[in-house]
Amino acid sequence: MAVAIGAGALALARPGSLDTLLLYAVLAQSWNLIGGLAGYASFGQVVFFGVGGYLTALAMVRLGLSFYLAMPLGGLGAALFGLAVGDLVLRVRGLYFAVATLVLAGATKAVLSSWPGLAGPSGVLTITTVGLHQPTARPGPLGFDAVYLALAAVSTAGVSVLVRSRLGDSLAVIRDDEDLAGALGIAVRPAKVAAFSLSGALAGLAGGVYAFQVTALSPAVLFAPLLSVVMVAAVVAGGAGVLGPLRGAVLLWLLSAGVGSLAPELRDVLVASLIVAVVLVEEGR
Amino acid sequence: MRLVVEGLHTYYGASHVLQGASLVVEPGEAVALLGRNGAGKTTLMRSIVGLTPARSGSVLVDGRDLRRAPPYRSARLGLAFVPSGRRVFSSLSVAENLEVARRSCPRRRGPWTLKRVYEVFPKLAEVRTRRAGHLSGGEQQMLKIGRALVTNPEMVLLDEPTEGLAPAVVEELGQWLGLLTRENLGILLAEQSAAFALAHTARGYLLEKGRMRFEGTMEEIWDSAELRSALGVAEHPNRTR
Repeated sequence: MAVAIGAGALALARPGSLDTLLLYAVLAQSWNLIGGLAGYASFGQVVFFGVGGYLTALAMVRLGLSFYLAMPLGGLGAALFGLAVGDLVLRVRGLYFAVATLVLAGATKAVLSSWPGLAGPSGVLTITTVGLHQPTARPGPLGFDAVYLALAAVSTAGVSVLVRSRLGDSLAVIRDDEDLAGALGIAVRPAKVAAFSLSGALAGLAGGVYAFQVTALSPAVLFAPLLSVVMVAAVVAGGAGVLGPLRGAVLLWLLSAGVGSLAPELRDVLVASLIVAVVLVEEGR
Repeated sequence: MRLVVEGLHTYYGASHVLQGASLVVEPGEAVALLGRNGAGKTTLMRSIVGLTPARSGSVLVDGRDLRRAPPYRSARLGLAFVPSGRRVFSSLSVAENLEVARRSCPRRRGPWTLKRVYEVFPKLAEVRTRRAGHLSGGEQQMLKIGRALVTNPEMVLLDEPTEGLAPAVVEELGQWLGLLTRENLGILLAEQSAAFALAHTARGYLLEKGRMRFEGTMEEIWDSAELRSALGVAEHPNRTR
């Protein structure tokens, strides 16, 4: 593992290559809100990434909106999506919630793939980046780094405000003992749904940026299950709280890049195995 | 606050736990809820506060039906639930446990502040920065009662408070119950240990298989050999010579 981390640090020590790290940081903070602070481990958090990404792309392609308007709309849409489905999936806890979110992500991906007229065949959608019809000039690599950096900073600042707020107090006791929190007068369900929806907003915003970055979109790209796993692993490895998810994001980024530079063809398999190993070690503590 | 429970039916999945349980607690009254393990005492309390909603019947708090209301409603109306066992927010400190409870019912004003809880339970003040999960059983019991009090309730539901406590702490618990009564708080005390309940309440209900088998004064319970054997208690301590 140390070798992989070292190789990762070497491979990535160049400008314009921080996008993945910063993306991981935003996603980790998103998962932190529901999995870390509220104690509801979502294994389908990528659903928000996908919904935010699609909405951003659709707003740009269909409505011709600027990316800088479309992305917040995508984040808002993902938050509303969380509000709409949160009450349903948050009725179950623990492993049942994990499965419910996994199914939610799979079902949403399937619906978007086959929705007639929403995108091209099989949900394929391309954001035009050349010619007269491009809604926003596409930023270069450093530009994307800057957008991701801003998102990561906003996410982390948001989480640090939230943990000190009344909602943060409610989430802390819900994580400890949900029944008891209710019996003491804490409005449990609204607090959980709010956390889920806020976590959706962060992942949705990240999905919007990612959509503009890759431009050629498909359900497989925007709903990649590996992203859900990355989110879980970042918080499990780095810890919850305000800074833990950032630590976890750095760790995962180094691991994945290191493995990628040593043995590119094995990257996904190795990263997934390492993540499972990290989760198992952490769980065993 | 007057609590009137009428004909509650509660299920856990297919299991019909409460089969028409009814009871009344008058304002400021201390009432015992007796019964063996598995009779449905905890379920009845959970159904009253809305943690395990009953399928039919009514839970009237000052005439308002809370059967289908979420748990926080009853807490904010002044009905505090003190669950059994080590149910504290274990990762929070003692002070944070109290603070969270106080803030969860912001509109309830009354004599109970954190300061007063620390005066009544000086031991809690000594451990106020300690994690609640690391407290002794007696300290956790104090914390659970203190946590109920800072919401300034009008009635307290206590589920098996003597469970797992050392005899000396059980005696102290009796004194705390006396304090609640002097403060004019209604009490519903679910107890398997009938002797403790009989010593600290004037009236009681005997729950058996989800139904009220008996309702009456403590004298009546002591006078009936059948009830005493059902509860597993011997003669009245003052009458045995």
